[in-house]
Amino acid sequence: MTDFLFGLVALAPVTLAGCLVLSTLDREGLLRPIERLALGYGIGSGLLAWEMLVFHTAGLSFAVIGLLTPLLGASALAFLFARRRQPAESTSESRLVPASVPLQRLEWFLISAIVLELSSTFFHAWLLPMEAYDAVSNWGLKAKAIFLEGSIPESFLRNPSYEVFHPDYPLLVPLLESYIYRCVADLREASAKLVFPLFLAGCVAVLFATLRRAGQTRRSCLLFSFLLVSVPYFSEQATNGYADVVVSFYFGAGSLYLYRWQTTGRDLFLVLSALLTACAALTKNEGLVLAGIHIVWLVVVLLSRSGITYRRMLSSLGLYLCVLVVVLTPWYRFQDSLGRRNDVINREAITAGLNWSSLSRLGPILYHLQTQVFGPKNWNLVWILLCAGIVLRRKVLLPSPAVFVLGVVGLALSVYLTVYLITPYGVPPFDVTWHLRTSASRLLLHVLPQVVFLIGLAFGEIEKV
Amino acid sequence: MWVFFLVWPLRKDPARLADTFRLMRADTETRRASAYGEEFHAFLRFCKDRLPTGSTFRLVGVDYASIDKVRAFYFLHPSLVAEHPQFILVYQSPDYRENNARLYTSLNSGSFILRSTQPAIP
Repeated sequence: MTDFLFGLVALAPVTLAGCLVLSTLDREGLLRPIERLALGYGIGSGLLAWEMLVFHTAGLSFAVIGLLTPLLGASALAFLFARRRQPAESTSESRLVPASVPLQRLEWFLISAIVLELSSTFFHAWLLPMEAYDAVSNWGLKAKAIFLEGSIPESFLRNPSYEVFHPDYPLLVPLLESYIYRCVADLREASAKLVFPLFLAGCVAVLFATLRRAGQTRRSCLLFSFLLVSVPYFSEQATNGYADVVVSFYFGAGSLYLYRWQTTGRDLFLVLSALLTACAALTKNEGLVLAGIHIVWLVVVLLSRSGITYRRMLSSLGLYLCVLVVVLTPWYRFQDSLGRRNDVINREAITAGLNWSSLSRLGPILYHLQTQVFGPKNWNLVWILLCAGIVLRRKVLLPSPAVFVLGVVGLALSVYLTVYLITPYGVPPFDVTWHLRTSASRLLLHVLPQVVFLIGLAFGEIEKV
Repeated sequence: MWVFFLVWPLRKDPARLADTFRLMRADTETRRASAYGEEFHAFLRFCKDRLPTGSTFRLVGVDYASIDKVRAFYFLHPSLVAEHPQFILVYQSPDYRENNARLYTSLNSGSFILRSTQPAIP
């Protein structure tokens, strides 16, 4: 367990920096402590990766002190400046926090079950070395190379022998892992693997807080948080070093805060959504598509609102886009300098894939999808409950802003499935069935927090005020 | 349902629990050997110990699309894969021979390292 302690010590200043940034943004105290901690970890990690990309561009090395001093210094200065400029004030929403009521027996059971599931995930992450396919080939190998080099090794990423390991993929996870190696001054995989269950715990905290703000009872929020953490495939993927649970956190939280912005109109949630969505795009290429989906959501909401001025509309959209551009520019500049392009989605692939014969792949795709929906061994009852929620509770979900969350889920899945339709497959055994088997389930994870949120809204109990 | 899926794997395969307890007490390399397979892990350890720092290699006897290949690339880094390498790492292929390469060192009759006699191209 020393490995985990080392990992926690390494991640503590990063989380602190994230929490300071959040405190700077959250002048009205809208975020709950557990939510603030989870977001602090996520945003701190994103800021660290961003800083490392900027350092690399500036030719600076990745010394721990050199990385942490500006990160902590800038976030502390921003926090102090914001405190001095405007005294903290509590809003009507932050005053609405109900008085603490003793936990009931069922709530204790649910808390114990969540703790048990999370502990089991942390334990398995610690127990297993880096051994899963993408964990070593994609993320782990790059993290090791960055750690040994002390910077991003461009010659390694350009090496044609390693082309199959996607040198164009974003580097948030390898950078974070290499930072931990650097902190502990050793290639301790178990310390680096702490990153993943922490993101799982973050997903649970954000889901709980968002459901609570949506008016659900504490018992109901605990129940659906438990539903999320008890999805076997989700907790398993938080132990093996794959980056999908990280995307789940960033994209899930990005959607849930955009929903909160839509329902409350507070800019804090818009900025949070933009930051988290940008971090999703720093984690995996899919994140850029997901960012595009959020922009579509934002534009539709702004255009559909009556009585909103053009100035307000442009400032909200401009704010969102500015955050995305600032966070993503260092990565895309670096990716461009590498001269690498996406080996799955590119102009040739799309041109070659756009023909009627590709539609024959619909059969295997739909078959695979139904194995997931009716696959309780991996997914619990999540997909069945979502379908039931849409059908039975459509009067609750469809006329509310939650329909946009549902739209995001639908759009993300449609885009992912389109990729399976247009990807050219040349050499056996690489065909659509192989591609689905090796990646489709993981892609479903990206929308899991939103799906459980929708289930919560559909079937949860509303707090009586 | 939750309790069922929690308990069922242990009920189905009680050896998993014993394995978990064994791994809890083990060091990182023993855990890696358990995940990679004892034999393949021993081969990789052998290669890592024998390859000079920063050398280039090519793998023989490991399927191109297999997970073993990527584990080897990861484990042996910073030694790098190359098409015309300094070393050829031969795994479980006793009859494998190559022109312009001589035996460098061997783990057993089937797994060994050949050293190229031609100049390496990174």
